[in-house]
Amino acid sequence: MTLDLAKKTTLVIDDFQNMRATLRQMLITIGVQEVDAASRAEEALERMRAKRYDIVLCDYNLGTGMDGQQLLETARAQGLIGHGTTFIMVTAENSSEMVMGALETLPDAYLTKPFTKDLLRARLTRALPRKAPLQAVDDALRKNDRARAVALLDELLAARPANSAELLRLKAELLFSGGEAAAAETLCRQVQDSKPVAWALTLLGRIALQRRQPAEAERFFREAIALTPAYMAAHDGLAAVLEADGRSQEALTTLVAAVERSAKSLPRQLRLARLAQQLKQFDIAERAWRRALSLARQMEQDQPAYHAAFTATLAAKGEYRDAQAAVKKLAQEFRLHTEVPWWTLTAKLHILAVHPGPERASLLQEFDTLLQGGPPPTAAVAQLEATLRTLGEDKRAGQLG
Amino acid sequence: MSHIDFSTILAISIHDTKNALGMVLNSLDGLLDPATGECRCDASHVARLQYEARRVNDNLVQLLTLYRADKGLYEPRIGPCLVYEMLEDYYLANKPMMDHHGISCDIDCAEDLAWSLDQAMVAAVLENVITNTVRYTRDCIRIGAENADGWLLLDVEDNGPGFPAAMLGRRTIAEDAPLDPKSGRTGLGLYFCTLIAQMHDSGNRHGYIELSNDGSLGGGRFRLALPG
Repeated sequence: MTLDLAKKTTLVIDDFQNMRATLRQMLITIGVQEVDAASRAEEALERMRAKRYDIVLCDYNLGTGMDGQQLLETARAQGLIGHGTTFIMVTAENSSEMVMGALETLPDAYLTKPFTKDLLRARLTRALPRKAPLQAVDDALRKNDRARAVALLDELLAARPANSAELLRLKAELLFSGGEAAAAETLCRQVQDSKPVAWALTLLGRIALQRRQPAEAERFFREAIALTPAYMAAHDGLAAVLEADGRSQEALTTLVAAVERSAKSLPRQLRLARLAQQLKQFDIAERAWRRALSLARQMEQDQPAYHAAFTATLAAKGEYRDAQAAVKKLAQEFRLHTEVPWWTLTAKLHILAVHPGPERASLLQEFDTLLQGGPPPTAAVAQLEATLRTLGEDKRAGQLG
Repeated sequence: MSHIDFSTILAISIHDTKNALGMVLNSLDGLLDPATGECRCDASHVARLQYEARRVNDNLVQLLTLYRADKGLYEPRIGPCLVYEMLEDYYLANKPMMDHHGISCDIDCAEDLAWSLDQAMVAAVLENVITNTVRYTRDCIRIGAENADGWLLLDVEDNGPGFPAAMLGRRTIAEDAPLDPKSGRTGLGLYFCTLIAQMHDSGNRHGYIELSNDGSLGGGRFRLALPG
């Protein structure tokens, strides 16, 4: 098959300069003309914000910041790479850092170093014809024209392409997120009838969850896990339905098992930390917070709210010295953050709530002063309110609105 | 690695490797015209050399892995893998050799099938199995993969005479007969495949291999089954 690579915009991401040069040279040799490069994940995200890429060639190991997998998840979550972008993950043959038995967001292809330009071309030759037609779908979605996107997918599906499964999945997800749960359900059931797949079962579970049919949702998620145990979205769904059904302890067990399989997802660690905190399982909560904080830092998505909640966990465990240190760290790391007075106060009140002390009066005074200057950040209200009520300050809690 | 001592493995590997290298040297001899000293190299010679060199390489990969497993040094590297790609890589790398033997090869696998596995080791198993299949098949090979109730089934089928009865069935390390270096074809390859299969576990389910003669092409079928 001939493949016109000349007009494809390409981004190469690798922390080693000579590897970037090698990859660029390889791409040029096989006919790509426009090759940009980035050395770190943040720089790559900047470039993706500025320009749409047809091809992204990314090394898994990017040094100190995010790794390639986290970059892929972030870029997809922020809509920086659409369905029409071909994302190829480059991995080292002996990369021990990639040890995880989980299926999260997958790239469109993998290449294991060292590889030849012929193999690179083979991967592109297979991936590009699948992905390129989806650029029109991306365009429609960027204009918020979901109906058009679905119509385009139907046109593509009519030709019965090799990647029908991928297109059906995309269509079902678009229908669901567009509020057409019934149509999404019909599609998933059709897919199930020909061959059970984890994504369709998981989406059926999410649909049932939305309809407040927890028993059915649970059954779907469990079926998906039995079929493809490494499919993490099914574990997340199962935890969500158990929690919604009031079976928090079972939800916690599910999440603990899920992070054991795949520890690098920030949203999952946060969910586990909050749930464990709520269930007063402080050892689990502390461990999850520590992992979440280090992931958030690595991904440059750290927030003062995480540190305040972490302080509450440490205080609840009676580790006051560590809790004080966490408040200090919060104040220091976010010293330029406008919300930091509220968050440090929240964290200090968390400590006070389990460890009464003479600073009570001054902290409450600080609360009153801050409140005169304006309401607390929305994200802080729940934490503040709970802790004020624990302190018996119902009147002040009531002032939060 | 319970009932087998490493010196036996070493002896078998050396034996296999020596044989393969012997074939390489033979083929090389054939390249030079004894009278004129000129090199007369054709595609069939190269394919032959390639095949034997692969066997040497396979043996050494095996030996190293078994050594590491024996010493407790081997850490399986289980990661996400697009199964179709792994099969395609194998196919692309071996196409010249298969063409030379006049063997056609089909890949039968959904393009979006993803699984958690140790890609380097599963590729080594495939390499091992297919290098053998090339020798025994008549003219075609089918490499198939699917998710069946939470198990990845990776099949290599051929239209040759099939496996001898004594080799059929599921194999586990614990039940396998001890290796015997004196009995010619030594079974080290299968032992290696069984070991890699068992390294893949999920809860209380362990991977296994299974040999049968009910493949869809009428010959033998090697199956590697890995839990999800």
